[in-house]
Amino acid sequence: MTDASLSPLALAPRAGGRPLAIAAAVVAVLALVPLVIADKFILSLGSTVFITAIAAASLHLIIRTGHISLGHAAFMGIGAYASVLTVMELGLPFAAGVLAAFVAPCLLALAIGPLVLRLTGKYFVLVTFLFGEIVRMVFVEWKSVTGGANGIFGIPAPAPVFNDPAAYYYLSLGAGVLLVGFIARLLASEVGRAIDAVRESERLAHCSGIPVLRLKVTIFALGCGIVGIAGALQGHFIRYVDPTSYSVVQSLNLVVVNVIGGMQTLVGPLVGTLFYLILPEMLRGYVELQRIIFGIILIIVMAFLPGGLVELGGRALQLVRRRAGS
Amino acid sequence: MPLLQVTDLQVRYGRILGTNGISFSLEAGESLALVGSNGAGKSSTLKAILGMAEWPQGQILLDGQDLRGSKTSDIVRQGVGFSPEGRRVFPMMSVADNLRAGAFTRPREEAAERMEAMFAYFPRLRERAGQRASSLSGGEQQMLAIGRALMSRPRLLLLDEPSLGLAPIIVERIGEIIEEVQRREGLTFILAEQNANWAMRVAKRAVILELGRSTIAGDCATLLDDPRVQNAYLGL
Repeated sequence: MTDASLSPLALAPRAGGRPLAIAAAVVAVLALVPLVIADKFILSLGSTVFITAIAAASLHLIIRTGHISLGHAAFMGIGAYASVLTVMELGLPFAAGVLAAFVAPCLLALAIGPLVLRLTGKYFVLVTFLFGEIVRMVFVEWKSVTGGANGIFGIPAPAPVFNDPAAYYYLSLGAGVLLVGFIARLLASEVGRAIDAVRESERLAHCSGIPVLRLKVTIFALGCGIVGIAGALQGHFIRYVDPTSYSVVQSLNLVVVNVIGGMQTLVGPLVGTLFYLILPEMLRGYVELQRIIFGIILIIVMAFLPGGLVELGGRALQLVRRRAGS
Repeated sequence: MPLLQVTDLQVRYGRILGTNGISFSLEAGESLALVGSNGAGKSSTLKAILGMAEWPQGQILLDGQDLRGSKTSDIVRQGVGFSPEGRRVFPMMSVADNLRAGAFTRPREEAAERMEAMFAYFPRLRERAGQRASSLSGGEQQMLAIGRALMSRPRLLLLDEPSLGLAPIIVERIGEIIEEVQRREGLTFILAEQNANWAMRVAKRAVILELGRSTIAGDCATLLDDPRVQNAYLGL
């Protein structure tokens, strides 16, 4: 049996076994970072990475059903505004804000899901693109609630202790472990298999007794709810929300993160997030070339690595093993 | 009471008629060949039973219960399995995951047990369990498609053209396996086929479809000797 014939999904992280051990080791190392590095910039970058990773992983969940949403940042924005308004206008604690950040985009997704998820391929992409624009315009125009184009300033930290970047680092790391871990468990379960089946062939999934539309709507709503929580974490971290932070450009960035990292396994968006956020920092000296270099890398990945950077890693690992074996 | 009773079935795709007056019934444990040429209404009939096609006229009763308006996922839950035309598998998923996907409507403990049963019926699938379904040969893919449909332990299995495009020796093998499953599990099946000669040897009874209608019905042994059938479908 050749390696190429192995199902890429068989290599997807499953709960239990070695992938779990690797994930635990990575989290342990990440948890030690603030003890070693006290640099505020690095710790803040860490929080951004974790929050983006949650958002990218939640989009991955939706992509796994075969639907690429160009409106994901809109749901993130709805979560951010929902949480901020719950905390600042209603005076409720951050936990209530997080709950609102999950429930609001989730309900909206449940409302539009049965309509838009009947569409496939480019039609779904276009409709979610339009939806994202509509939501952005609502953020801009509904001035009495959202503060219009100026957004909302002076958002408090979840608690006074989280004014410390190290504390926020741990908060977002904890949220990342919980939410990405939940997505990993879901994808490794029977439901995950049904999700893959729906993406591979909706008709065949249908005749296997999988309630295709209901499953797609549920997963869509779950993904939108999770990205809402990421939005809340981001809003209370940056202390500021405005419509441009949740525009279609941001949605596109989340798709790019998934494409670069790889769309076949959950590891893809995580690697993509790291690449997407760390590379610009490393290219600081070449600000004017950043976008060009990034664009070239994106083209190379799309042309030669349909499985994203994860595929590159997989191939390198195979090569090493073959060398070691011979 | 018959397990399945189809009466005067008319299937429509918009303004196009899929079938126009098909009737037959099937007792539990029986096997039926639906024989006819391209466009005779074989696939349309199977799709209607599974709730995947519109049927403005006629009646389909499963265990005496009207299936009109039932969702496909509920019909599968009630014990109908379907192996669609063209050896449809989930191409990028492993063979084992293809089988597991077929057991979606069943409890998880049962899935492992069923998979063992499938590997016993189709030993080739065990050898290829970790491989992508798309890397299988045509015959293996057809076996996987049938195995996937059997994973839900259906009382009624609908097979749409399993012989299509396969070497005769593979077709014979598939026929033997279907008969073996029937012997062991008391499976009831409907075999929709253009390959009338083969289908009428695997199934006990047959219904001949012509232009969307059921015309001749009877025991396969009798029909195989019927000159009308011999002329039109057996090439004798």
